[in-house]
Amino acid sequence: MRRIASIVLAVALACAAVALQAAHWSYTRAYGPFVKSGRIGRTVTEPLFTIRVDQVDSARTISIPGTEYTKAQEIPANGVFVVVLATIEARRSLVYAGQARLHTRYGDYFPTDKLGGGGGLSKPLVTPLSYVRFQPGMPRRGAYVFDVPREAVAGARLYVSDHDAEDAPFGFYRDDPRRFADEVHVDLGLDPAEAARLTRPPPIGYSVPEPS
Amino acid sequence: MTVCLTSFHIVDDAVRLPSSLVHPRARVAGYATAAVLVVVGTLWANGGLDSAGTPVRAGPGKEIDQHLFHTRLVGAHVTTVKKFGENTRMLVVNAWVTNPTRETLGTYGTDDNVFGHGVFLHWRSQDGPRPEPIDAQAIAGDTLFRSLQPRLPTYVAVQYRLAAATRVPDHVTVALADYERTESGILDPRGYWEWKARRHETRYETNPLTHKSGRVTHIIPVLVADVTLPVRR
Repeated sequence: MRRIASIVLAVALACAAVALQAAHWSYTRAYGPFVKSGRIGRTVTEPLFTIRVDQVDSARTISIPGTEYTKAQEIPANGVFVVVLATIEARRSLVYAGQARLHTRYGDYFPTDKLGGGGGLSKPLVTPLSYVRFQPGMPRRGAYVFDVPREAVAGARLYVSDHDAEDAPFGFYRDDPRRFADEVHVDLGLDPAEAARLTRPPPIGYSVPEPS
Repeated sequence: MTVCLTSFHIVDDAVRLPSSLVHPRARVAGYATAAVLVVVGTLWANGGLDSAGTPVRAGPGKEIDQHLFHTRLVGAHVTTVKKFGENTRMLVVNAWVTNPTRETLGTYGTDDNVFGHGVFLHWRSQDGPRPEPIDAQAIAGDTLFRSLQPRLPTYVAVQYRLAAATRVPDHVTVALADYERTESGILDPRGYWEWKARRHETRYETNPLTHKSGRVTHIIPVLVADVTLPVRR
């Protein structure tokens, strides 16, 4: 009897060990950002910055005017460009709103790198808000530009955090800019009808504004 | 307590045969059977002896599932372009690449999970020095970029620098690696993508940047396809 009890106990302990190893919190629950939600047209206040999404536009192509050193360009979208115009202001000290993503049912889209400036080694053709360093008392209005499939537009939300890739010294394996960041989730009001209106037919030759 | 223990011994001895009565050959057979059962059980629990498989042979235009990328190699050509400030003769392999995951990936870079790192050129030594992979860029119109956004088919040019003595044959064969998602563990449970390993190789190497030496383990990837492409000149 005692032997049977020992065997049962050993098997139960082994099962418990395997179950404990397999069960862990999701990454977001364990390390995820501190989220504050908002919606288009309303200001969301985070400890380090405020953001208000003013408008969402779409485009098939983006026009870049020529300069003294570069010729004019027409940049095509692989899907459709979603241009999110927002106003951001730092609250206490200099801050980047460097991590922006368009969260859709297909996944998370980073701002397009078709405007250049990859890796921070060169100046982008148009400066997106993720490249701007905001200062207290000086709100700036500009754009985040995403290239997404048309089917991904409905229900899309803007995620913006105050961390950037160099600002996350946590983690054993890799730095993660989202760990313990303050993150804003903005409902862009893109219900299916609005998404259909936005993407049918998107204009060509859209001019992305530089941060004001 | 003592009585109980004694009675257990009595029962036990009554059931078990004295070891001297078990034939030595039968005992060996029993051990061998037990060993086989343990090995088979372990293999079953670990998914068995998974065959690395042989890469599928394909021509241009066939979609290959690399799990991290869905890739359709469409052609190759030799060209001279200005790269890093100087005119460079290059072999360019073109592909339509779709990222089926929910995260933005890249065409080239320092991470393992970029498209360019899973494309290998078969090369015969009689054709001269092996072309050197230097970049993989996405193209839209005249715009070059490096992001592979989820579910957005993207045209990519994988670029190999050609030495002066390199002769490019009329057809080249390109192998594509298979990828798998790996859980990194409780400290970083996001997981990451890397080559599916056919085997691992450990070598003693010196890092060219830090000049530190040590044993480095490399993944030798499973190849999902060998795609033969005609080369335009």
